[in-house]
Amino acid sequence: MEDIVFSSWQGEVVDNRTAGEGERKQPANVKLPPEFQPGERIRAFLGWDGIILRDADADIVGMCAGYAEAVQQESCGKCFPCRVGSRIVSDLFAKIASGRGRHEDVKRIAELAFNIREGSKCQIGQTGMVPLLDALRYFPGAFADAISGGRKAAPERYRYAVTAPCMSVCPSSLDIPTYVEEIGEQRFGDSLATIRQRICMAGTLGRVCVRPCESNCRRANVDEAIAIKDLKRSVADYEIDKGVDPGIAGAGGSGRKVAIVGAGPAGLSCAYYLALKGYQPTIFEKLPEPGGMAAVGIPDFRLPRQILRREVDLVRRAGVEIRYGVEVGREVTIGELRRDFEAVFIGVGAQDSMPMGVEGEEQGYRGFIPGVRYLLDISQGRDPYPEGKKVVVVGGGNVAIDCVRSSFRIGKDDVNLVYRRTIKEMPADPVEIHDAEQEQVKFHYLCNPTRIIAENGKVVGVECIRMELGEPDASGRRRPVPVKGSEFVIETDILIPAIGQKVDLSFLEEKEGIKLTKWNTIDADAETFATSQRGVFSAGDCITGPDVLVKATGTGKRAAEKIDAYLKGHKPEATEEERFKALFGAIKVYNRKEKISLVGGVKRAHQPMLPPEERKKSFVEVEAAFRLNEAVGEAARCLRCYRIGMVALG
Amino acid sequence: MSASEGLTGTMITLTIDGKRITTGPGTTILEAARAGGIEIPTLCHHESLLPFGACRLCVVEVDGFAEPMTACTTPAAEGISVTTRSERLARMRREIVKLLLVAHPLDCPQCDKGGECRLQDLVYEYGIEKADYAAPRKDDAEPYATPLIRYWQLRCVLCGRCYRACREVSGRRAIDLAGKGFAGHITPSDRDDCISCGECLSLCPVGALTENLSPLKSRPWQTSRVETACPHCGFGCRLVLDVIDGRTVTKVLGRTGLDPNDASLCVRGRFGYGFIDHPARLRQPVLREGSAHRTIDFAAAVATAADNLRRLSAEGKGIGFIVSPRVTNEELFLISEIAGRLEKTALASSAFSHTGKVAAAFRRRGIGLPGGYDGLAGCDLIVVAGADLLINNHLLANRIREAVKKSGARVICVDPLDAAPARIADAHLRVAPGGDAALFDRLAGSLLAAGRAAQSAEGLEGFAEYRQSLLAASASPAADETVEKACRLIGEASRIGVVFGSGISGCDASLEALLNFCLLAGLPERGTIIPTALQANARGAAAILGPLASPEEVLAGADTAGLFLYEEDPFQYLNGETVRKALATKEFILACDLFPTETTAAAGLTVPAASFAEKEGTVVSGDGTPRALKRAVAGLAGGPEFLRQLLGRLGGKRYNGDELMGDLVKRLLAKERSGGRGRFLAAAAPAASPAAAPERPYRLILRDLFVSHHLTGAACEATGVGRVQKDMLCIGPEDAAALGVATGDALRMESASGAVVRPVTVKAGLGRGVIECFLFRQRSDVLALAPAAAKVIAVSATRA
Repeated sequence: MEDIVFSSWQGEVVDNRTAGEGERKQPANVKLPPEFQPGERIRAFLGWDGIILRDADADIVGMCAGYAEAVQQESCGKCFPCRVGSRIVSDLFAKIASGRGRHEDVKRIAELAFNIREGSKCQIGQTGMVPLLDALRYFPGAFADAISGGRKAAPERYRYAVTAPCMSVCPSSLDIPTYVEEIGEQRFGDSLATIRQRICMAGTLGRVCVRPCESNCRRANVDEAIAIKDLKRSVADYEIDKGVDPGIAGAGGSGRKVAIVGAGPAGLSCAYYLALKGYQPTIFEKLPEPGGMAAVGIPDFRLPRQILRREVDLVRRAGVEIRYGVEVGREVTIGELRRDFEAVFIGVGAQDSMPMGVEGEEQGYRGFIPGVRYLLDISQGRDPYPEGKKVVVVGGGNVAIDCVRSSFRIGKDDVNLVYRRTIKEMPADPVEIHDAEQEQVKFHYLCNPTRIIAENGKVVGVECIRMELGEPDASGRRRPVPVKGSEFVIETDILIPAIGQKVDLSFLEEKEGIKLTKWNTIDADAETFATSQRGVFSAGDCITGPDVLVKATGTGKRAAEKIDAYLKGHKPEATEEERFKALFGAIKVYNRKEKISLVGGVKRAHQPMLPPEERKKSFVEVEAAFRLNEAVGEAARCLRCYRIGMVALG
Repeated sequence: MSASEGLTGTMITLTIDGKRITTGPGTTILEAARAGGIEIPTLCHHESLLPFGACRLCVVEVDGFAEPMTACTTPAAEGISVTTRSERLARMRREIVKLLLVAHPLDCPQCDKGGECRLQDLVYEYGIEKADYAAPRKDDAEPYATPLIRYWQLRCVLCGRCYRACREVSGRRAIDLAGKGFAGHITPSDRDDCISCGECLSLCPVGALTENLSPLKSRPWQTSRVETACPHCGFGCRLVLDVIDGRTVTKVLGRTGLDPNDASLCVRGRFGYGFIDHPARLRQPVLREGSAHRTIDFAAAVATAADNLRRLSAEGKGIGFIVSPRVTNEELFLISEIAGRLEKTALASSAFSHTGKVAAAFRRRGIGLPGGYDGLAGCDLIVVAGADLLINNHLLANRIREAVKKSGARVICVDPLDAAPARIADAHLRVAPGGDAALFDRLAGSLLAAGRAAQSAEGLEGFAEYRQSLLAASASPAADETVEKACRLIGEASRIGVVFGSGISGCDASLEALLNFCLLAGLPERGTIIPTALQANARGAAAILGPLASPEEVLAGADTAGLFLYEEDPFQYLNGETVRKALATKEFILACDLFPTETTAAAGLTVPAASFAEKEGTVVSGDGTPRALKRAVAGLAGGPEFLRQLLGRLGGKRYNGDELMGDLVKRLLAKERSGGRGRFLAAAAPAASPAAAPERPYRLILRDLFVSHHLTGAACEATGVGRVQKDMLCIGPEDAAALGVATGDALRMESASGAVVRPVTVKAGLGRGVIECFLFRQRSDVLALAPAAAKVIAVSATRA
């Protein structure tokens, strides 16, 4: 699609307005999707890094007036240049757009906008003037025409949204700049309330989130990314420490009943936000314990159980009923749920371990324990194989790391991890890998199991083969290739495959009419979370395959909104916020190469940790929350990178 | 940043405007510049607040960086070169000030702040003649959070100092920024949370917040400003009186840099000055003979007083003195000298009930009363016990918040009620009245168990017995998880600050157990102990008159035929009937006071006293520091002069000149502060909780707003304090439900000695079995519930 007429994105000007056929260039640094929603064309985009014009006749004057007013509406009112200056800029643009403008107004706008861009505290003012200044610079004729009364404007509709690099990549769309700023202003309660607008598990995600936000943090362009995750934890813990009443209560309302299958992050999130909307959700959970993978897949030293239980208790206080020990498919069927409830949400996660595909895997040897089951046993207070002392875990993800670290804590003294690539390609959180190294896990990189060695029905070792890295595969990581004849044996009592999980949908009977994908996940619409069966919705790992917690909470909440629409008789569809999220995702909000004019050198704060020798012996939480002053200091590093994107539709 | 921080970290050297400046880590460019004597303009910045970076006036250029940045939020980094004045910066600053004028009315002639307004200064400095654009601004803000302050929305520049001060300094959330963009304004976010401390008013750089109190407005150039000490509680704030014509105080100001309160004050200090020139003040000595009374002149009053006192003394009769702990050391000293000229005397003060007991306990322990508040800043754990810092020593709560804000100190609050630090407490131990002793023993036990008892403690007298008693006490597991958490926090702390108030001193067992705990924790060496001081010169009274007798004792003394009440009205704090009966038995009562009271009405001779604004002298604050009172307004000769002449008349030395007095006072105070290493004392058996009586299951806890009857008597309405502080009776929701009462209903409470009916307010967070009574102006009926001075009274409660 080579249809961009003009772009000033990131200062790289591509101007095809006078270019003939075949001479048109296209911007290399940005792609503007053709449609905002099906059937609605994006004529132009005004945003933090400039203007992207698709239709030559788009009304640049009208767009500027709309955008300037958006800046004023979104100005937080704190810093003077943005608060007052953008009011005047908006007024002047509106004056010109309405045909009452004068030539000196253009000059005044240029001066003011320059001052606002240069002098504002945050990126609303700093970036908010960028497309306006570009418009004055590259489209002077449009303004001259408007002032002399010759403006011809096609009917257009403007929609805008606020984003920030961090929040643009957050699967739960947390309003990160606001909650961080509130911490910086010592408004811990307000900060937690901001977080809870999006997730009901602040203490959990504040501990275990994989934090895409932090790798999209503009502060990293100055020195180091903000400790966004740790800050989230600090306010969640503050509420507990200071004995603050969370003030969560059921909304009361329609009382219409929704069944939720699975008390994992997706189910809890869906239920919580349904309850806040006045519905009466009931969660059916197979285990005697809530949290799903967050509870049984994440060990206590990273996520203490009482934190998770408390958050589930808040969900309950919002008006959610949780029935434990009820296995859907056994005690109750989806069909019965559909009969007794007005809608059903399936959020069963992906809890089955993937097979490694090596010889001996299906033999049921003592000492062969899939990773998720290993963690589940430990979480229930059991050592799955007390006689075994030496452990080999296979895999490179967080479950693998949790398995090795938990092993020390149940008294295993020789703990090994086998991974077929190198540390660079490991999908596990680098912080977790580092902590495991400190605890003296033995890492065996570039090798892969080929055969399980057993004697008398017990594992005694695993045969591995050395690997080397070849060409990149579909995931972009270099593909590991076995080195012929390099087999060797690691002696071990316990072998734990932790190379990934899959979805167990055996509880669904064919007659339920819920279609599955070819990857054996539930086939739910990516926008509406609706399954092929009317009134049945699904989100989380069971539709995507194993993914991160913060995605499950995000999709669980979004599914709640679709269920709400469905129960109100509306057609569930993507919200404008979701459309903007997709649009901003395509345009890309964070620019790693941006140079920021700021004296840096302020180190990111780190939570205090127990020393490795002390922590590896118990399930006591490894890290402690920031103290108040540390949290406030860390939050003060945030650059508040809010920016506004506006589309002209028509 | 404190000096010590600067010395421990690596020093940073940067260049600002060509000048090399060396500063500590964590310093901002603005702080470094100011330390180096380079002025960078600011508007939203304030030293008491976290950096904000909103006004953008402090923009500076740094070599190698394309864009200017704000000096208040940018750290000073090694080797950078900063420019604070350039054409570009001047243009930026001028533009900002011009923008402010777009939305600011030019009503300077009628603005209170005219002449000391930051915006006025900036407009003048940048030579701005007019705003070149107008944008209409709404003027629709709700009335302010407190009636004592008025908000002028159009004058507001939205620097945010007010609402940040509310949160950061005062720990409240009464006001906030509302609206976005140009529509932004300040709004009350929680009126009930406002304590009218006026911190917002104090920090407003323009005339957007003005005092809504003094009818007499003054402009800065018309008034003189007198730096003096606050007359109310014993924290020891220093303040500045704004005086017109040398006669009338028009407002009270804080001043940055004044120790110990900086520019902060509480509602009493800032708004409690209307009594000074109130028409109800006593102006003339009055002699009462039978039911007749007549005014007499000052000399006659001195003669009458001297004759009567001498006569009683000669007859071998006792003379009791009840002296206010708010008067100056010089007055106290003169009184002690007067007493020294007479035979059988007893010296009492209302300071007895708290500071008197505390001083005696410290003396018994052989430890000195503490000096200074600064020790709190270095503590990583602060325990606040039985001290309601919202009501008294409010600035101490600010100090604690500061320690939390600056170094993340943990806080344990020991109080049955929501006392000031409860909101920021990591553990709030809602200990029932009388239960403190067991709790402190439990906490002490946890220190021992954690191996964190101070080495020094082991060498102290009584350690072995104390240790033994703790081991016995801590054998049972902790009662609940809050106590367990408190034990953990104590075990982790390296320096502990202990602040305690009348909730502790009201019960001997509590006080002893607390002091034992302090010694075990190695205090005061490894932290600090700060007893609150309820009245401006309680420490001075305890030292100069001490050991103090209790006012009840002196009143009841059978052989006490004469009474000299110096700015004291026992009806304000004792059972009225008891006082009335006692006064009736006296042969001669001499009362010296500012206002007529029930006591002065009973006195044979009444002499007018001088208010704090009318006299010179010193008081000793809660931190042991003497602070000077300065005469700000011309007034009556008053109390000090009467005492001087009376002493002379009784044959004592005719003191003249404050210097000599000062020396004498200092010598007396030195005695108080010297201390030894301390000793453990076996805790007295804890007093039975007053709730023990089954027919009176409720504990009425008095939260006494009383500081001085100057603020409760005739002049009350003239001060702001009277407008915002209210008598109130509160009960928890569970008890309310059980009794069938709702807010506004009348509650009848009956004790062994009386009954009271009052409207009740149901308050969330109050536990079962306690009734909280804010005692302000309506005192006598509640005081009648107890035969003697009490903090907690056992009562029955029913719906009236």
